[in-house]
Amino acid sequence: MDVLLQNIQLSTKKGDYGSLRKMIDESTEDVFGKHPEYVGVLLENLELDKYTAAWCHILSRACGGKVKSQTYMDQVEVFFAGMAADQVRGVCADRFGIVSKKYTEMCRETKSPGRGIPHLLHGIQKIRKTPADLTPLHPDYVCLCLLQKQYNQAKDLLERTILNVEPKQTGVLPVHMMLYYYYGGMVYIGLKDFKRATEMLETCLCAPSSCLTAITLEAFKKYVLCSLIETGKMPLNLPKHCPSQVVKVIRRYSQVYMDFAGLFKKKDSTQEELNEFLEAHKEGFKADKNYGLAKQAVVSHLRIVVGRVEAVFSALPLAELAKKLKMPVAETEKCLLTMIRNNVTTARIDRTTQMVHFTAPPLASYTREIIDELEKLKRLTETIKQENHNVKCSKEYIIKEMNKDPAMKEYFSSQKTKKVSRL
Amino acid sequence: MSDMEIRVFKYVELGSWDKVAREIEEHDSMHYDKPATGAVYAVGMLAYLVCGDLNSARFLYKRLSQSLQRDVDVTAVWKIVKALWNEEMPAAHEALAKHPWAGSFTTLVVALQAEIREKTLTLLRAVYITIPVSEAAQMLCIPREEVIELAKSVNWTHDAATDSFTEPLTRDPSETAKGPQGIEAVNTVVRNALFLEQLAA
Repeated sequence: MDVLLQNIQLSTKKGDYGSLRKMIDESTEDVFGKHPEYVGVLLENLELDKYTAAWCHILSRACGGKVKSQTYMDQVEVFFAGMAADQVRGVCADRFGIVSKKYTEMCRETKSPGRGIPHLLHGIQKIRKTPADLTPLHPDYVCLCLLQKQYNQAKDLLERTILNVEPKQTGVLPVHMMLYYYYGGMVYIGLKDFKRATEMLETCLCAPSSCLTAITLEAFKKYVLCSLIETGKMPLNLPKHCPSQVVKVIRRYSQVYMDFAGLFKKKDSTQEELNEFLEAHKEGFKADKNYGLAKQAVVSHLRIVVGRVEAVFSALPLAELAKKLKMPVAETEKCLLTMIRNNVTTARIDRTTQMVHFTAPPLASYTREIIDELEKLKRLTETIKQENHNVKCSKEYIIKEMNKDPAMKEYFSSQKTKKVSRL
Repeated sequence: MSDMEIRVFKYVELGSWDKVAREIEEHDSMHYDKPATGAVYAVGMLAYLVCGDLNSARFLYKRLSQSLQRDVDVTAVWKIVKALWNEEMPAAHEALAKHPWAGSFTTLVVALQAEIREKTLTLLRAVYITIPVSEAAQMLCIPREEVIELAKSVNWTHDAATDSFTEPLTRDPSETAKGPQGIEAVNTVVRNALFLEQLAA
């Protein structure tokens, strides 16, 4: 143990993190496997801010041993609070992800997701360079927020657009990206913001992958239902940047959802048909934990019917509208009230003549939306300009551009030859 | 009473509903193993409702342990949340009026009743061209005479023959306008036009 401690301190002082990793990996079975209590002793003798990399390696190896949950969680919490991020970024970022994953699992096993939320947030704020960076802790944090039902806290993180994914610096893997956007979609479903939920789930579907994964499949099922709730239809095709291996097979594994979306496309489909379909496949939807969403989709089908009526008529008796919706008049009025409250339609009701008047939304309501979209576009343009500048100033790009010029290429190769001959 | 509880009730007195909600969320986040009392959570749920955040009020209730959910004040507020979720305004008003609220709750309850009435009135104005007085009174949960006075204040005409309200012929454009107005609108248009020209160039 003392020898290990001394070697760790020496390696860290020299900055030899490769040897540090190897040394800790080799001593795992001897030290941590047989004597898990030595982990605590070792960590106590290593100052966290000076030996952060060592802490990270030790904690990532200790989680495979017989360490107690409470002790391990306390150690990780201390680690997140006091770590020196520059000793983790690019040095042991992959191990950092393992520590975070194990900590999250323990929070779930001990049924204390609330405990992990502030500590994971602390870890995120330390490891990332900018708020636009994705880290392995992002999906774990959102997952715990979901379990603890603290949706607003998750939303605060999700509102930040992710623009940088640097696996070498932060240890982030494609699975982290998939899970982050999948859990993010679930948070927005809970907040009833189906537009944002659809965007998050679509991003999950488009995460880099070489095959269909369980996460992508579940995200696709929720994506179908959220699209039906938000717009009443399922997009014909997935985005072009969605991996082709996913696009080819995903519909085959979610045929029930495709059939359900198909019913929404039919012009004469009724609420009864949709309810019958839902009842027939109830067990399947419940097994996927999508039954509630599917029921909401059935309710939102009414907006399609009202939308079709709105496209044709400028005014219609309330009784006629009730006939088209196949509902009693009082329920139709209540349904219209809900739709108008949620800005789905701009219909107005005249109770004296029992007529429903369909009016176009005021121009001012489009103005705000256009201005918001333009502001988003401005911010995105600034970010792209900055990234473009960063790429142009990078060493790899400059070398590549110089190699395109034959004169420059010849000049550099002659310089190399001169250096070799001097040696 | 803990420091957090003192701060929460102070914010209630000042009418800072969003600070009440934030204080409780921060406490739950940092001290997940030391929950506050049922009264504090009931205040938190009411504060969310006054701010119009029905989802957060629901989630706050679902986070509570079973024993806290059985608290008298929490149960009373949960009835209001359920009524608002099902868009049953008369049931929400009844739940507000029925329970014997005390202390800091009174301020919140009065604010919530006013908020619900304000939103219902806005909805009625958006939806109805004409509406019977009796129905308006039922939806707003106020006596007939009060409804007539309220309708006059928003320029609705009362037709005694049909006993219904009719909206004014010309609506105030600022009510529906969501975009910027006046010089701000000009500035916004110029900025956006310059930006689009730069993109095109």
